[in-house]
Amino acid sequence: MMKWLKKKPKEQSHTIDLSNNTYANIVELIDNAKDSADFIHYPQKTVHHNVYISYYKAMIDGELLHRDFLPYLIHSKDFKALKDLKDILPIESVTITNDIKEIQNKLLRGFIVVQFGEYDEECAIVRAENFSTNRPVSVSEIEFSVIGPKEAFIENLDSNIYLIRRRLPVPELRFKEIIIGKFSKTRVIIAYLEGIADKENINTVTQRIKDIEAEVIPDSSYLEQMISDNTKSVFPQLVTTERPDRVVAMLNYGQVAILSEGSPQALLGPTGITEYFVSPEDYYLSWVLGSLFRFIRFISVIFSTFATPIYVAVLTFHYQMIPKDLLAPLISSRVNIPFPPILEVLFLELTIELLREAGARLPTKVGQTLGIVGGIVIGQASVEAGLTSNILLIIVSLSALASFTTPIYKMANTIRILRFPFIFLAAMWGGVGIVLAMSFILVHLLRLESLGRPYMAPLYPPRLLDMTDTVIRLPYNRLLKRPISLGTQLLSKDKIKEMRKKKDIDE
Amino acid sequence: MMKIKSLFIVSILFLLIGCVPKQIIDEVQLIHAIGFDELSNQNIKGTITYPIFDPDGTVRVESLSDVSHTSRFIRSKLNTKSPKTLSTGQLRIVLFNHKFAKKGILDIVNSLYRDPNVGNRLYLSVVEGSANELLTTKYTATPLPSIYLMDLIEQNIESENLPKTNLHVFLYSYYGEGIDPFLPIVKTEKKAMRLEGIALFKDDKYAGKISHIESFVFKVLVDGSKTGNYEVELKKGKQKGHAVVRNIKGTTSYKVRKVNGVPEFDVKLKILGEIHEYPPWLNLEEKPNIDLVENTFKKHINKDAKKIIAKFQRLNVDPLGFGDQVRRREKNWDFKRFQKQYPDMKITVSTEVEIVESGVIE
Repeated sequence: MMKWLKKKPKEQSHTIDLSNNTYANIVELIDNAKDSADFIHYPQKTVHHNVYISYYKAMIDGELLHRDFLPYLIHSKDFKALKDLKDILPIESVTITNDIKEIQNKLLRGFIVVQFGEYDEECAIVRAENFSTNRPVSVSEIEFSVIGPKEAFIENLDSNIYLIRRRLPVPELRFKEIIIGKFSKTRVIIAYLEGIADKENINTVTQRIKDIEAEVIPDSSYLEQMISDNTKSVFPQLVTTERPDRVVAMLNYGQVAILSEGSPQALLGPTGITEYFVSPEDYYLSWVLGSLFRFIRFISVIFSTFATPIYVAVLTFHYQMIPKDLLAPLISSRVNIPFPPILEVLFLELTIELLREAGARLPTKVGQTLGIVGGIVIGQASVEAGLTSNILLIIVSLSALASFTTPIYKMANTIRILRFPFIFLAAMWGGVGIVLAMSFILVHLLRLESLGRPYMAPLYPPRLLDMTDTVIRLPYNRLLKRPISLGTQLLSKDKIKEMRKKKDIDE
Repeated sequence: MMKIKSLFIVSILFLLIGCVPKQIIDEVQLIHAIGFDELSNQNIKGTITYPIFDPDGTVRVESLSDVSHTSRFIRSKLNTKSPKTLSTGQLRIVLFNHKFAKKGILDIVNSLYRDPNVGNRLYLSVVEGSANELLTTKYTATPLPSIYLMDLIEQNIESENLPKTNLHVFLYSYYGEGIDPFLPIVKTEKKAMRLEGIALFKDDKYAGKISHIESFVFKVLVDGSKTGNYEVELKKGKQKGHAVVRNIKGTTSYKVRKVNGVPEFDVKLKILGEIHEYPPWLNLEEKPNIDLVENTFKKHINKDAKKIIAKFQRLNVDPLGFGDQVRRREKNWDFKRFQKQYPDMKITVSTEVEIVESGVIE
């Protein structure tokens, strides 16, 4: 029965497996490389010998080649054997090898290869990588904050490591490097604080990253989806951040950070759901303000998920619960509208989604115009044309606004998508439908895990001590140094007492 | 197998959508008020009003009326005249003509409270005169008589002499043993409505009424009150005038004694008041003058309270819940026995008044 539904056996892939695709010998390597226009391979006369120099033009630093490499190579009288290069060149990394795998890898990473004969097995490899195309560290744009540090990660892994290391100059900060991606050979760094981060978390992350079988890893978001506990979930299970200050704070909490070459975003885990609504600014403002803004953010998430579904449910099924003063504006704005509430809502919600999507794909300057055109012109026109009621227009735009308050972009997108099942169920079942959808989502959230730890923590399982930094943020002397739910060591009661004591001036 | 099962359940969920009745808000006719009038030959005349909301934000009122033997069938008859389905989900007030109320209103109240669309905070009211006229008159205050009436009652409960009343309170006193319901009485007066007083019910039948001025004491007696104004006539020597006393806090305590198996009541009213308005010859800076207002006020209140309690006994209605007071304290409560004792029961009333403010008002 239904044989066509069953998966067909996978056909043999015809792609070359580049991961083990090392050329058998140096002849093959050089001949193949010559097919590429950016490969330079030429004989060079020196004092005693003729040597062959090979490199990829784009990958090496030209200045280094001309200033620090060629003059010494050509004019040095001591250059008799390849191993002499170690002494002659003012460059720290010079290796002599005939390992074809190493030669190939380094050549592709921007090293210069020196040989005596054109196809000599023994080569000297000199490092000369080109870093000049890296963009400078710039202002964070996705997770912007008014006060606090502005720098954001860039695409260069080493700069990102520097940004973290500079803020945590301790030997306990460990960077574990793993290379994944058959083609891309992407360097992935797992960062953690030894002795603070739970061993189990580190092992889980390392294990999962090692198990990845991918050809290319263009961004850390690929990693996030590949190592997520539940890949079918719409909820992000790792925090994606571009802020080094956030990474450092979370490393100190005992989380594990994952960075990858070529990606300006770090991943943090294991996380609980409340963490996605935390902005670094909450910590930079006084705790009263920080808590208040965070609370507003939580309220706005609830509002943006439930506002339109409740509108649909009430107007379609539960007209009884409308207060008498609200009847007149609601009905008179809807009298001329030919659609049932569900179509009206879908029309407006899709319009807003379109605007957001178009705005995100367009350059900033065009995007601004688009916002005005969309927001004012389409909104006004559709009300005047009698396609939507103006009360709904207010509700939809408010809930769109509310959904943008979530600081983590991936979570903000989830919140935007989340309302659609609610709207459909509200149109089908009214209030019961909303409750049904909420039950599904709650059950899903309760079963969800982030790197093997409960996603709803510390709300469920309840960890009262951890809740000091969830919906509200208590002052620093009341905050626990590290959350229990991350598996870090607990402070003793005496320690907590001491922490809460105010330090006096004569102490 | 599991897949087929879950697929089956999900498909049932979707198929059942057809069974949920849709009532889109602009596609139903929201009845705001219903009025019932007694006609000769056993007929009932029902009048409904519903608002019409125009797209420009203005509200008009429409009313329909028809005649039938039962209240439920009136609605069905009215539906034959209405462009959209009539629905009771926004029903705010139900009116009974006083003649109609004399015959009993239980059948209607009963069908109201069994209807899940109707809230328990619905107002019921007795109309002196025709309910139809009250609902179809054009008023200057608001375009909707239903909202006018509702706000009128609400406002008077909050700041004047009307005790709290709604469907829930009515049902509580109707079904409670030893307590009888009461409802407000309204009346059309040219281009306005007026709260006339309070209608007293014996079971579900209208039995008598008390006037607006007496309802000040009634409100204090029912459940204490923090509102209401009272006008007293003052006499000092040859000078005459009127003063208005506003109630700040009025409380009542009931004490029950059993004498030879017959309960006796001591009703103690305590009112804190402030003088709002007084004749110019009265100098309130002098203590004796305040005492004069206090004493006169006290005398009036005491008289009123005695009068209305005597009236309740005469009519054999018990809106204050004397029976309920006895039932709370008695093991072998016998409602029938109490009903026999009630008209001749000894109820003494004493009043204590204290004027706490006479300067700045409110």
